[in-house]
Amino acid sequence: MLRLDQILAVCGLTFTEAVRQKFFYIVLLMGAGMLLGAGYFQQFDFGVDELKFVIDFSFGTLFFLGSILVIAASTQLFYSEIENRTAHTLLAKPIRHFDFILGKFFGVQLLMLIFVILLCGLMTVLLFLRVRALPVVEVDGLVHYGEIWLYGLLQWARFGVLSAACLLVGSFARSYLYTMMVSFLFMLVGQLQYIARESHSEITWLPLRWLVQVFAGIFPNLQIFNVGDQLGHMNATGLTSLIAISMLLYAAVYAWVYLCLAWWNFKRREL
Amino acid sequence: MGELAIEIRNLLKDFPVGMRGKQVRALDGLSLEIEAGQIYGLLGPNGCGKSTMMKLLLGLIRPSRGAAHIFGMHAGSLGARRVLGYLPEVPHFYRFLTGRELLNYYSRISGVPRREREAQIMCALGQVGMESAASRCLGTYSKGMLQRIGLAQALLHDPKLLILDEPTAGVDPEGTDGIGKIIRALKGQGKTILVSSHLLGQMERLCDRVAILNKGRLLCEGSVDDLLTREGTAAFVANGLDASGRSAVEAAIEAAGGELCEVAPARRGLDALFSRTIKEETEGMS
Repeated sequence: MLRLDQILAVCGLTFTEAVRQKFFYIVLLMGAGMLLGAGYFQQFDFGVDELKFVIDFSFGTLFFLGSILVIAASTQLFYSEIENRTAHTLLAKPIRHFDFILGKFFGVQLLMLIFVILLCGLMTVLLFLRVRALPVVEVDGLVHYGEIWLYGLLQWARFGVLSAACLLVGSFARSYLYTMMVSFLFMLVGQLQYIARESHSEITWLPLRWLVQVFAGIFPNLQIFNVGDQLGHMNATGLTSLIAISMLLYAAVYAWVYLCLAWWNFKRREL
Repeated sequence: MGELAIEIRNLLKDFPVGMRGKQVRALDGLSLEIEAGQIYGLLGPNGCGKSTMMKLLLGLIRPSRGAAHIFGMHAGSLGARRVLGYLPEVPHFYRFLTGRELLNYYSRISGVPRREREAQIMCALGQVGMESAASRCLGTYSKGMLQRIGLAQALLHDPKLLILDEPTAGVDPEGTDGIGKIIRALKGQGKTILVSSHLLGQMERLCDRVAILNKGRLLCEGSVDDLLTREGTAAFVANGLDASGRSAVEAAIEAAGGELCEVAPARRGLDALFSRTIKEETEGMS
């Protein structure tokens, strides 16, 4: 009970601190602006193709801006506690280091949940209005609204992996800039990691093959979350529940491992 | 000897510096015992190891060798952190929170039960005299107010031991005096207080015992009275003596087998003069 209250306290303060920063609103406004602007790309075809473009563009906006926000927020909200020495007063209290890390993680995830809900909500409203305005008789099924929210959920899970990775980097980093840079690099490696996975089967030299396998295990394959093509629009194939749940579990396992490593590092860190 | 609040045995702390891992020794075999219920002062120049010792007690850093215990519990353990409150030298808090919100946050972190929280917050605010500013954002607080709210957060869970790292750093003499009074009142409640400061005059008046550190080593330790009293000497402060009167006193001392070491006008301290002047001015205006 006590531990839960401590985690919730850190989570609440982290979230409050995050929503008081202008950066969150700037990213949110940029996202809203891009979603609103997506419908006005008149050079693209009208009708169903336009809808596909709007959905792809909106998914891209959520993916891109969400990635920037989660890395900036996680780094800022965790590392600033060390840099500003608020962690000194906090960790002098009877709170476990792991609970502090968990509180930070959940605070950022709460922020990202709000971000995802707002953008997916706006996406749903804009697509609904656009579909109603289309010169077609049968509008049902042109957009799979539920899949927009499924995409949002999967991206939120992906943000969780990134957030946990940022906390891990922040647990040993000595500067804010370093934490940011390494976290972005981590994301890049995660996005491109599928290349290593693909080349792994072609490597014949065993030590190198093992090295690539280890490398592929350390970094999550973030490419699996790029399912925008399979969701949302009329011709999308969709995702089975099993695949969606597997993806959520994949994210949860990686986030948990990174949080444990962050705790292990942070506990040993001298403040 | 009474219950030991702090027990430090042969504490050694090295910090690695630079890429080559060269070690700088911050604490060099420090051993210290602090009884419960005392105000214990740590004195020493900058870099002598005061803050390092405090951080070791809080578990924020680990010793290279030796051990420290707080009320018999390993320093830095959850149990030890439950019985202590800490005020850092420069308290950095969340500027967007009000004083009350900050204390509510820290009371949750300290594990104060929900039903006792409000009472504890009010009590802590009352102890540091910050009730009227509790609804203001910390960003609007003066340095002295930040120190007071910092002290309040240290008191929230009613700790047996308070570790105060230069609680009066950057605070004006009036504020310093106020913090001194709070510390004395806390001692009256049976708390043990470990305090470091560069204000030697205040430490002299405040502390029961002091330790002087330099380069991580303990130079001397003892009760303030024992350390400051010159063995076999006595001081007399007289008023209204003329030259013949002084001669008579000197002769009496000589006749009694004593030796007059020094005759100097009695002085009050600068901090006492400052406090009195401000007090008189304030009373005059009211």
